[in-house]
Amino acid sequence: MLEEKSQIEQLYDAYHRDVYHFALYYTNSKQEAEDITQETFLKVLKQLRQLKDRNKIKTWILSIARNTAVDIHRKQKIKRLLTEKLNRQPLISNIQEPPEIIEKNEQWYTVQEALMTLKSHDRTIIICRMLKDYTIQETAAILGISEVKVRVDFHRAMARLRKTVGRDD
Amino acid sequence: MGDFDNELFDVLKERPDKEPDKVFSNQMRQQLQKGQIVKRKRVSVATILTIPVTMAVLAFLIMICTGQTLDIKSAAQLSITQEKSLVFTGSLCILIALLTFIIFVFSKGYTKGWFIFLMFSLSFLAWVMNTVHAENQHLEEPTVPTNSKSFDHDQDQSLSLSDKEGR
Repeated sequence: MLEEKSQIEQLYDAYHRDVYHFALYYTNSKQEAEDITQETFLKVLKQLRQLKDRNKIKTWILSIARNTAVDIHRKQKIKRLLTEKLNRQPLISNIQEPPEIIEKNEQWYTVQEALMTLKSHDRTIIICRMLKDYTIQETAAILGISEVKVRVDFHRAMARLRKTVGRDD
Repeated sequence: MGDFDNELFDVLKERPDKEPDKVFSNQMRQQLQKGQIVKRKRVSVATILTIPVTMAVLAFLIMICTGQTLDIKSAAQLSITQEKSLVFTGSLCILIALLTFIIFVFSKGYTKGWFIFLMFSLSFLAWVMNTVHAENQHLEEPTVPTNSKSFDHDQDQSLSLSDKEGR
C-alpha cells in the first residue's frame, strides 16, 4: 500500500504535466483540463495493480487521459456552448498588452480554434505528434491503433487543419 | 513537414496558460499522498434515476417469480400448471441473468452511462405500457392458442362455417 502511494506520487510528478497539456490542448479549457487530470490520476490509482507491462506506463496513462478527455469534453458540450462567447471576449479585447503579445496570443488562439474544429481522433493525433512530439509508436499505443493508421490519419488530419487555418497546400 | 506547420505549432506550444495551476497541482499531490482523491461530485440525472428504476424492475421480476398479483391485471392469465411452471422457470432465469448483469454494472461503476439508464427505463416503460394496455383491452384469456374450452368452441364454430360455405 505504501509502495503504491509512493509510486503514484512518482507517476504524478513524472506525467501530470503531460496529462494536463494533452487535456488543455484537447479541450481548450483550464477547468476541463484540471478535471481530466484529476479523473485520470484517480483511474491510475485504481487500476495501477492491473498494469502488467511497466514499460508502457506513459502510454497507458495517456490513453486513460485521452479516454477521460473524450468523456468529460462530451459531457460539458452544452455548458461550453453557452459560455463560449464569454470566454472569447477577454483575449481579443486585451488592449493593455503590447501589440506583439496581442498578436502572439491571437496566433495561438487561431491555431487552437482550428484544432478544436477537428474530430476527436484527428485532434488527438495532432496533439500527440505535433504538440507533444510523441513517436508514432507512442501515438499508436495511446490511441490503440496500428502505426500505419497513425501515419495515414496524421496526414489527413494535418490536411484538414491546414484547410481550416487557411493554408491549403 | 513544412516550416509553416512547425511555426504554427510552435506558437501553440508557447501558449501562456499552458502550465497547470500550482495550487491545483499541490492539492492533487497532497490528495495522492493521503491515498484518496476527493472527487468533485456532479449531480447526474442518470445516476439518480438508475437506482429506483433498477429496483422497480427487480420488484416486478420478483413479483412474477413469486406469483404475487399486481393491482393492475397482468397481461397474460395462465391457465394450466405446465405453462405456469415454464414461465416460472423462464422468469427465474431472466431474473438471475438480470441480477448478475445489474451487480456487474454497479460493481464496475457503469451506472452513470446513459445506455444503462435508457435500458432500464425502457424495460420499465415496456412493462408499464404492457400492463396498461392489457387493462384497457380487458384481456382475460391468453392470446396464444391453448386447449381451453373457449378456443375449442371458437375453432368448432369456424370449422362448421367453412363446411357450410363448402356445400
